Amino acid sequence: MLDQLNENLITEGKEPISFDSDCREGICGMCGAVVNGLPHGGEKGTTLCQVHMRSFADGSTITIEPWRSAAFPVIRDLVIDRGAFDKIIQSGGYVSVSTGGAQDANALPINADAAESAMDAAACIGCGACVAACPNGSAMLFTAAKVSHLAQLPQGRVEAKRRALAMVDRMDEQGFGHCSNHRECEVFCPKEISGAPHRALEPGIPARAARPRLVLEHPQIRKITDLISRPIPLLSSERDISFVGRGPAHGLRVNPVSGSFSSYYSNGFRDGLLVRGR
Amino acid sequence: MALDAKIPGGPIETRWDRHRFDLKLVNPANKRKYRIIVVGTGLAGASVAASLAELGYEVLNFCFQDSPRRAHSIAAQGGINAAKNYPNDGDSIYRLFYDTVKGGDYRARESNVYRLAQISGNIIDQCVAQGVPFAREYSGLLANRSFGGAQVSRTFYARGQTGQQLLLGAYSALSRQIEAGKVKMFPRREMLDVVLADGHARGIICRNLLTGAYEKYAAHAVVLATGGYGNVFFLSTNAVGSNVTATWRAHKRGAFFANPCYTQIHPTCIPVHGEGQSKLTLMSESLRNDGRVWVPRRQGDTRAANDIPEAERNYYLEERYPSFGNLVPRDVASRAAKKMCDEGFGVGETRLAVYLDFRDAIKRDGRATIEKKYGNLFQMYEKITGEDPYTMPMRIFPASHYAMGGLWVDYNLMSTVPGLFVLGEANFSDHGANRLGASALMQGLADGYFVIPYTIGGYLAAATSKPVSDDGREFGETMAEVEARVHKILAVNGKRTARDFHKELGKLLWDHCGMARNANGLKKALVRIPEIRAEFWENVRVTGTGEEFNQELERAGRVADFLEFGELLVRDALHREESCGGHFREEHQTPDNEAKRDDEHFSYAAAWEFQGVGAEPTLHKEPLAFEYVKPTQRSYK
Repeated sequence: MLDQLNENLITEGKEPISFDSDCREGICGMCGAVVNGLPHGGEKGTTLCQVHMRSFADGSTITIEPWRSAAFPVIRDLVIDRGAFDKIIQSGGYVSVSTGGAQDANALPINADAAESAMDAAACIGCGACVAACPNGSAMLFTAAKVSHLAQLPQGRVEAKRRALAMVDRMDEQGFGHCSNHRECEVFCPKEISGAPHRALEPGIPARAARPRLVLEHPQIRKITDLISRPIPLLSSERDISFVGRGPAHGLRVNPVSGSFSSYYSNGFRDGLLVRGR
Repeated sequence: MALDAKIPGGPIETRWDRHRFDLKLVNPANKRKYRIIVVGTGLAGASVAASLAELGYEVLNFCFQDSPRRAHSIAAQGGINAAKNYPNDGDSIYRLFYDTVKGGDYRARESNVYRLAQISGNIIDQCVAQGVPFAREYSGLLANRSFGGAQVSRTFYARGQTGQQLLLGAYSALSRQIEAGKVKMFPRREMLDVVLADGHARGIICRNLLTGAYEKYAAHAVVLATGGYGNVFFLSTNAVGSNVTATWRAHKRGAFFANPCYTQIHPTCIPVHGEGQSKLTLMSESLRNDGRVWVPRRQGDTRAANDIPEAERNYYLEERYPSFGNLVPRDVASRAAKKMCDEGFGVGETRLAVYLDFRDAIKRDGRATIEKKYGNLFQMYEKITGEDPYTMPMRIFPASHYAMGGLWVDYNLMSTVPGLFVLGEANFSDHGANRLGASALMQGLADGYFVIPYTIGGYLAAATSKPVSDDGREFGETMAEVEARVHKILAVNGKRTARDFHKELGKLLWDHCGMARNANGLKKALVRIPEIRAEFWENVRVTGTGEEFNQELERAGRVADFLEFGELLVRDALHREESCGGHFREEHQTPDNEAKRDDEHFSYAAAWEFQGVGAEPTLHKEPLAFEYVKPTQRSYK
C-alpha cells in the first residue's frame, strides 16, 4: 500500500513517505509502524509488511505513525533509528567464542525442550514493536529474549550473569524505560515471544489484564543493576524480593539484604523484570 | 588476460590443507596494522568481519540497512547442509562434494566444492558453540532432515528459521567485536564504488544514506559480501532492498562477472496477485510431497477450482513424468508450470498460476496429518492470500530465488582485481549452474568463517603494511565520479518512477531470460534493454535532493545498475548455446524436454570483462576440469 501511495505521490510531483522495509515476509525486522494506534497494526503474530489492505474496511482512514520511544529517534517520516538495540546486543548478547577450534557439535548434548524454549526466545526479529507498545518505552522483552535464549543453553550459561547485568545496564543507558509489567509488549510481538511457560499456569488471565505489582521507588535505586549491585536497606529479607527476567521466566534472583543474585530458571515467578513483594 | 584460478595441485582431499600451509602468514603483531573493509553483513559478511577482527585485523564493516542483523540471509528457511554423517546413513565429505557438483549440472569448480564439503562440519560446530538453537532429538543430539532430493539426511535446521538463527549467530559474533572496538560498524551506508590504486583495491566510496554525504574509506583489502542479483527480475523472493550495485560497480572497475545467466527459479512460490505487488514469497518445496499439481484441461477456464470435475483436470507433472510425478526437480517443475500458463491454462486472476491441491491427501491421510506436516506453510499461505488451502487448492508459481552467477573469484576468493575478495552469493564459485537446497547458508559461512581468514593473509603478507590513506588522487577522482552519477540521476527530473522502470526491465527479463530462454527472445531483450536504459536517463523522476535521507534516490541508483547488469545477463544467456541447471535454452533440450548440456563446447566458466556501458564485454573462459565427478546426463523419467 505504501509503495503504491508513494508511486502516486511521486507521479504527482510530491515527496514520497519514507518507511523502512526489506524482506517483506516478516523475518528481517526492518519494518514497523503504529497503525491506528496499534504496533504493526495489531494483527496477532504479524509484522507491518504482512498486513493487507483487505483487513481494513473500504474507504476507512488509516493512521500510521512511527515507533515512539526516546531511545528510537525519528529519522524521517516512519523511519527511526533502532541503533540502541544493536548497542544492547553489543554489551553482551553473545557467547564469547571466537571462530575456529569449536568441539564437535554433538559433544555437547542439549535437552531438546531447553533447545526449543531457547528457540522461542531466539525468534526475536529486533523490530522494536515491544518498545513501541510499552507505556514506559522499555526494551525489556527484547533484552530478556536474548538473555533467555542464551542462558537456557549450556554454551551461554557460563556468562549468563555477566551478560544479563551488562545488557540491562546498557538498556538503561540507551534511554529505554523500566518494565512495570504491563505486558503490552507480548501482545504486539510479531513473533509472539512471551513468558509462555509460566503463563500456561494461569489459565483465564488475559494477557493485557492489570497485574498486581510493586514498583520500587527509591532515590538510591535508579537502575535495575543498582538493585543487584548493593544491599537494599528499605526492604527486609522476609519480604523475599524476586527479580526475574522477562521471557520464559529466566533471569536473576536477588537477595535484597546481601545483594547477592543468582541466575534463575523456573516456572515459579510470574512476572517480568520488576521488583515485587510475595 | 588469462584467468588463473590458483587451484592447488595434488589429490583433491589434500588440496586445501596444503594450500593453507603454502599461504603466507601475517605475524600476529602485524595484523593490527592492516585495515580491511567488509561490505555486507549477511552470513558471509558478518562471519568474515567477526573472524578477521578476532584475528587482530582492523575491520570496517558496512551495510545499507539500519542494522547488520537485517541482511537477507535472515530469510532462509529450510536448513544448512553438512557432511557430519550423524545419522550414519552413508554421508561423507565426498558424497556432499559429489552431490553438489552433480546438482550444479557440472558447471562448478571441483576444488572449491570439495573444500566447501570439507569445511561444512566445522560450520555446525562453530554455530553450536555460538548458541545457535538447532533442532535436537530427545537424546540431546542434533536433529537432521533430508532436503532437496538428497539421499542422505544432512540438513541441520532451526525450525523454519535456520537462516535467521545462523545470521543472528554471526551478528552476535560481529557485535562482540564491535564492542571490543575491533570492528567499526557503518550501517545505512551504501557502497557506490571501489577505489583502485596501482591496480589494487584500496578502498570504497559510500553514500551516507542518512545525510546524503559521500564518504571515502581506505584499506589494505576490500571484501564484498553483498548478495545476489535475483531482484533484476523485479519480482523475486529476495528482500526488496537486495541489489547488484556493489558487485556491478566492482565489475566496472575491472572485476570479471562470471556466469550471470545461472539464475535459480524456485517452483513453489505464492503467485503474483496484482500490479502493485513488490515481492514474492517462497514456500518450502516439501509441499510437493503430498500436493498434486494441476491445471484445467480447458484453456481460460474461469470456474472455481472446486467446481472443475476430476475428468477436466490435467495433472500434467504426473502425466509427463510418471515415475517422479510431482517430485521432479525444481527447474523441471518450474518450466512445466510456465509452459502451462504460456499455453493459456493458467489459473487465478492473473492466469499466471497453477494449482497445488491437497484434497486427495486430506482424503487419504486426514486433515490432522496434513496439518501436522504443513500447518505453518498453510497458515502462511492463508495469511498472504486470504484463502484456506484446506478447502481449496493453493495457487503457486515459480519465482526468481537465487543467483549462482556472480563476480569471478579464484581459489582464494579473490576477484580479478587484486585485493578485492568476494564471498557468498555475490561470487560465482561453488554452485555451478544450479544450487542445491540448504547449500547457500553453508557457502556463505564457509567463505566467511573458514576460507577468507586464511586466504586474505596470503594476499596481505605480500602487500604493504604501511598505513593506507584516503588522500590519494584515486579517491578524489572516484568520489567525483560517484557524485556526478547521483547528480545526473537527480537532474533528469522526468515523469516515470524508478520502480516503474524496474518493473519494465523485470518483466522483459522474466519473459525472455527467465525459466526458459531462446535466441529470438534474448535478442529482443538485448535490443530493448538499452532502450529502457536510455529512457531511464531521460525520463526518471526522483524526488528530493541528494543531501538528505532519500529512499527514492537509493532506489533509482540501484535500478540504474540493474539496467546495465540486465544486458550482461542476457548476453551471457545468449552466448551459452546449451542448457544446464538454471539456464534452459529451448533450442537445446533432449527429446523428452530435459536440459541438454554441451560439454564439448561449454564446459567452462564464462567470465566477462567490462568494456563500457552498452559495449560488448570481453569473454574470458576458465575451463572446468572434472577429474573426480564424471559428467552425465540428468534424467527424471
